[in-house]
Amino acid sequence: MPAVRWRAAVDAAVGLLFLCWFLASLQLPYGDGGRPGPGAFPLWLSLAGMVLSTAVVVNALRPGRGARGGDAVPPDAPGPVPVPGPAGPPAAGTDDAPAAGAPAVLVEDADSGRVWRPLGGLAGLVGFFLLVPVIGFLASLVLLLLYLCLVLIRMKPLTGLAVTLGTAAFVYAVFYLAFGVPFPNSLIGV
Amino acid sequence: MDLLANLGSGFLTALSPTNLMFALLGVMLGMVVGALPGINPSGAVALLLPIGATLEPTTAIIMLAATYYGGMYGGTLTSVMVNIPGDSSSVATTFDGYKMAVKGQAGKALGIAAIGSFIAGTLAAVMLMVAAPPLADWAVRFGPPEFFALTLLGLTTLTALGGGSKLKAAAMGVLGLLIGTIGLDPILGDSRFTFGNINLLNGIDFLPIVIGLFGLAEIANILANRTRVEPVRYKLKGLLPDREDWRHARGPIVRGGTVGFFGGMLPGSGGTLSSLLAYALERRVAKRRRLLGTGIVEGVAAPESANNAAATGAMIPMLTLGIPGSATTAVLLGGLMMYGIQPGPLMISENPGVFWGLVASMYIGNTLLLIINLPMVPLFVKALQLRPTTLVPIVIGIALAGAYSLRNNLFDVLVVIIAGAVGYFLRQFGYPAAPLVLAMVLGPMVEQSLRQSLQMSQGSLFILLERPVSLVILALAALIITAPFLGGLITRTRNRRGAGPRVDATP
Repeated sequence: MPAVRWRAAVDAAVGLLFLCWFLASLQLPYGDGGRPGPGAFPLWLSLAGMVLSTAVVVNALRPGRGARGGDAVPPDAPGPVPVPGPAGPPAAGTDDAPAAGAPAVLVEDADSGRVWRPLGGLAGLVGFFLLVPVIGFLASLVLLLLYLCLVLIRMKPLTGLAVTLGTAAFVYAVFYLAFGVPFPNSLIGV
Repeated sequence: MDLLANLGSGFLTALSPTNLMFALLGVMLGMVVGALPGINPSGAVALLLPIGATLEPTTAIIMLAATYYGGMYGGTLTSVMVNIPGDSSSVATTFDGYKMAVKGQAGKALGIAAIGSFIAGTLAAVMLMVAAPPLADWAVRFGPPEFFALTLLGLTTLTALGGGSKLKAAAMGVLGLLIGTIGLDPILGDSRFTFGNINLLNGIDFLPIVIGLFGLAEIANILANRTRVEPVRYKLKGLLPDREDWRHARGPIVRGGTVGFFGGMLPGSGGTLSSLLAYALERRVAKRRRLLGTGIVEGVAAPESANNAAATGAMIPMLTLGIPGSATTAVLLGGLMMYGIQPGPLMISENPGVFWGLVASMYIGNTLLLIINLPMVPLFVKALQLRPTTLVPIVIGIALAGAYSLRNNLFDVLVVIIAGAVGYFLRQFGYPAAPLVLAMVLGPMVEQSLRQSLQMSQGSLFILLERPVSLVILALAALIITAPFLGGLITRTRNRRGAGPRVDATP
C-alpha cells in the first residue's frame, strides 16, 4: 500500500495539474457574463479541480485518515477480488460450506514483481512506440509480444512463441487484410 | 401498430446474416471476457470499438451491445463456480450460486441463471421498446437549459461510479471535463490547450483514452498481481432446471427483472444495486426465504435476472437523452458518436434503423445467450482456468492495433500508452477511471448547453431555475448529491437518540 506521504504527494500533484490548467485558462479570452468565451468553462473547471484537490490533500493528512486503506485500491480496480469465503448473507438453514469439495480459489503471487512488472510493461510499450518508425508496426509488435511473453511473463518458450505468433496473425488478418489498415512500414519500406 | 412495424423492420435489420454473425461474436466474446477475472464488460467493449469503426454503424452497435450482455452473463460463471464475482453486478449471485455449486448443482445454477437472464432480458427489451419512444418525443422539446440540467444530472453519478473516495472520483470527473475542452472551442472555434500540436486541434479522441484506461491499465493490474484461478473440481451435470426448480424460480425471475429494469435506468452502479435489491426483495417475499443463502434457485434467479434487465434499462437514458449512466454505456455512447450517430431525443427519428435494429438485437442477443450458453458452459469453465497473464500480450496487441486503426495515426497509440500508464498509476492511489470517461463524454455537451443557456438569458443563471423541467432535474441532481450526507446525518442523529437512554441506564 502506498505510504501516506506518497499518497499526499500524488494528491498534491493532481492539484498542481489543475493549477497549471487554471493558469493556461487565464491566457484564453474569458468573454463576459452574457457570452462566456473559450476560457470561461476551463477556468471554472480548473478552479473546481483545485478546490477538490485541496480537500483531498486535507483529508489525507487528517490524523487517522491517512493510514486508512480504503482509498488505496478502488472497488472498480480489477485484479484480485477478495474471496468472501462462505459467501453471502447469514444462512438460516444448514451450513454445508465446510463439507464442500474445492474451496474458492484465487491465488495471488506476492512478490516484488508487483512494482517492476507493470513498469517493465510500460518500458516495452515505449520501446515499441520508438521502434515503429524504424522497423515498422508489425515487426515492432512481434518484438514487443516476444518481450512480454518470454521476458516479462516468463511463459514457456513454445507457449510464448505460439501466443506471439497467434496474436500477430490475428492483428494482421483482422486489421490489415480484412479492414485494410495501412500500418506504417519500416525505413526500407517493408 | 407503428411499434410492431418498427420492430419488424428492426428484426429484418438485426437478422441479416452479417448482423447476426457479429451479434453472435459479441455475445461469445463478452461471455469469455466476462468469465475471466481481470477485464470487465466496459474494457471488452472498449477494445472492440476500433473493430466496430470499420463496420456499418448498425452492425457495430449490435456487436458492442451483444458484448455488453454477454459480459454481464459471463460474470455469473465465476460467481457460481469459484465464488468470485466476474464483475460487481454478479456479487449477489455468489450468495446462493456458489452454495449450489458446492452441493453439486453448479450446472443447475448456471442453467437457471441463463434462463432467468433470457426471460428478464426479453421482458426488459419489451419495456425499453415501449418506454423509449415517448420519452424521446418528450425530450425533443428540451432547450439548452434542460439539456444542461440533464448533463449535470449525469455528472452527479460520477461520485457513485468511484466507489472509493467521492472527492477523488469528483476530481477525476473534473479532469475528464477539462480534457474534453482540449481542441477547438465548440462555439467560437478558438483553439484551446493545443500548444501548436496539430493532432490536438480536434481534441483528444475519447477512444484511445478509453482503450488506455480500461484496456492497458487493467492489463497492468493483471501483470502486477498475477492472479490465477485454480482448476475447478465440480462436476457439471443437469444444466436444465426441473419442474420443481422452475416453479420456485419464475416469481424471482419476473420480480428480479422488473427491479433490474428500473434500477438500471438509475444513473451510477445500476446493475450492482439492482441485483442486490432483487436479492433483498426475495428475502422478504420468497416462499422459501428462510433457505436463501443455502444454495437455492431463487437466490440465483433473482439477481441474475435483475442484472441482465439492468443492462437493458441502462440503455434508456443513453438512447433517449444521450446521457450515459455507467462506464459501459459511456463507452457505447462514445462508440455511437464515433460512428456518426448522436444519441439523444432525435436519434429514434433520425436513425430509426440503428435504434430498432438495436432493440431487435436485444431479443436476438438474449436468445443467442440462452442457446450458446448451455452447451458451452464446460468450455467457459475451461476458460476460467486460463492464467490471466496469457491475456496480456493478446490484449496489448489488439489495443495497439485498434488504437492505430482509429485514424491511422501513431499519435493515438501514444495517447493509449500514456492513458494506460497514468490511469494505472492514479488507480493505485485511489483515483478511479470511470468518472473521467463519463465526464469526457458529457463534457462538450455540458459546456455547449451551459453557454447557450447563458446567451439566452444574457448571462443569468436563473434561467435554469425558471424553467420547470430544468428545475425538477436540478432538484433531483441536488438530491442525489446530498442524499448520502443527509442519510449519514439522519443515522447519526438516530443513533445518538438511541444511545442516550442506554448510557443513562448504565450504572
